[in-house]
Amino acid sequence: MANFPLGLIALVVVSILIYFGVAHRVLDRLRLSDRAALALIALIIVGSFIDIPLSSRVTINLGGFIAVGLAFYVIIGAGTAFEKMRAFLAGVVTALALFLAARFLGAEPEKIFIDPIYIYPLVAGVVGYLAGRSRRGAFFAAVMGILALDIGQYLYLTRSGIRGVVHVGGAGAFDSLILAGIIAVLLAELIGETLERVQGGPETEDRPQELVKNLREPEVVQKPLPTEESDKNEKSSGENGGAEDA
Amino acid sequence: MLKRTLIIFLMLLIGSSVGGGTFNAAYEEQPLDKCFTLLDENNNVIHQTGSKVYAGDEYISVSNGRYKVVDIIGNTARCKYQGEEKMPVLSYDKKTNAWNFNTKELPVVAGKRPTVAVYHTHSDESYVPSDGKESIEGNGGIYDVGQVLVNKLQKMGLEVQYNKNNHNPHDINAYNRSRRTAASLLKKSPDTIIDVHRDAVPASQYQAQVKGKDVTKVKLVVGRSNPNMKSNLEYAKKIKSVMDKKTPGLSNGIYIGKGDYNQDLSPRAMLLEVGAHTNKKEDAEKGISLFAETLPSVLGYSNNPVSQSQAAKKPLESSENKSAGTSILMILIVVAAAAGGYYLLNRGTNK
Repeated sequence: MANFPLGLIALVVVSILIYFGVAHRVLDRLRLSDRAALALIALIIVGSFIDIPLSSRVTINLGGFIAVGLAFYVIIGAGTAFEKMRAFLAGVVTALALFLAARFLGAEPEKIFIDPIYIYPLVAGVVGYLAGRSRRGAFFAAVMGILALDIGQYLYLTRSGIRGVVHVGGAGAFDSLILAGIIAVLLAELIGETLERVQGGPETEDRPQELVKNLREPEVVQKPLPTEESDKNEKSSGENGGAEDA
Repeated sequence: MLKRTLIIFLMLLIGSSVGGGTFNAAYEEQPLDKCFTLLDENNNVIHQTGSKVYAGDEYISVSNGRYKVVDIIGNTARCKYQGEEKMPVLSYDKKTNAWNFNTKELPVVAGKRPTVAVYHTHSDESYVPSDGKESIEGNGGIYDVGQVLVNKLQKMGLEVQYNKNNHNPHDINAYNRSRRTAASLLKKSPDTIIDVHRDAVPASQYQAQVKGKDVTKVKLVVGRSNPNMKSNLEYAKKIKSVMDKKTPGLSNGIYIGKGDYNQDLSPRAMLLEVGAHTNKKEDAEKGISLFAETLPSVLGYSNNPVSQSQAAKKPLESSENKSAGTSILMILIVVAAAAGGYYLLNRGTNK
């Protein structure tokens, strides 16, 4: 790659920067602080270069391991047991949908309307949103869906006895495990925001006054100088998107 | 409640994995009469492919005519001629005994050996006349073809990273698994990464005589569902130009189809179709060996010191840079449009 013409190096660098920029914004939406999201991205990048062999049949990439850990972390941090349950359910449905897709959609990527790499987040994003109108649910469902495919390959290899190793999250930061999680959150966000826009804005009836106040667009011109209280308000308003985390 | 859900989750997961009958069934290619045939406006057969064809797919023929699929009826794809494709120009240097690009381009630093990464997404692909069947789980005849490519490149002085990972079962998730192999190979900074496959069409589509040998042709496949499409197509055109000059008759054109094929990971990622399951593996091995001979010229490498020093003086200015510039612009436009759209979406009023 060091021998690439300048244009190609620029293309690779720009693509990577945009990808990590988007990934950072997505982690931000999962109720992680700015700094935590940045630290996680850095950890995933570094982790991408480290493979940990678990057995003769399974190797796990540290970047992928962090993504799986993050999926469980955001679900454990979910508000209610009901939300956790809905996220698990989304995971089950996504895994099943992906297994069925593998079984019935043919073997070549061009045989289906969309490349498999985008099917994973598409299914997980929609299922995650439907199951709980939750970004965290979408992220969890996507990661679990890909993990289920890896479990499937492990069972296939051990049952058939043919050579092969399952590389969980093996492509590191560019693995479907992470890619699917990020796109699923973006999709859940897009569905949520679009539906909200179609219905003419967020529901405000029977909602707490404080929440309604934060949902309003800030009036930039008349905005007073920042005080401790307004800082707090701004922070909480940023967390209210269309895809709500119950 | 949570515990019960977790148990159901695990049971369904294991059930669907174990019950997945396709996991143990060997992959079968579709019957030969089901492969796709591309026709031009005068109903002449331009090309046949085992892959599903979509409107919008394109094909650069052996003689560099560019065709676009406009309509699909059953397994027939009607194509519109787009004109002759402008290919990179090469000239023969008698002193160095090598083909060089006229466009002052130089990807490789003088004296530095380029690295080529090789892997196989479809680990089971085999050749019926030689291997006995079309699919051998985890260890198809395609590995023998890959090994010939690797041996030949090493013999010519190139560095090779060959990953023989098994990506079976041969299902839609095979590319998800091989993506991990491709990513691990890319950590070694190769100058190009090649995924070696074979096609599933009648033998005549690939059978040829090149330099007096019975060989199978080699087709280059570029995925159009990824941001590196333009750069990879430029790269494919460079490869084809060298093939046409050095080993006329070896190329089976460039297919630009729907798919990613892990080509989003590198602007120099190429998928090769070396013959079909109906061809002899020995012919495919001879075909890939001739293909290997073209790669040093494509990557600007020569183990001849005279050619190296001459090449090193050429400025870095290439069609690849131009295509990369266009790709960067497109990526930035898409990101800006998405961000703008998201901002507008968020400007909703409260109900």
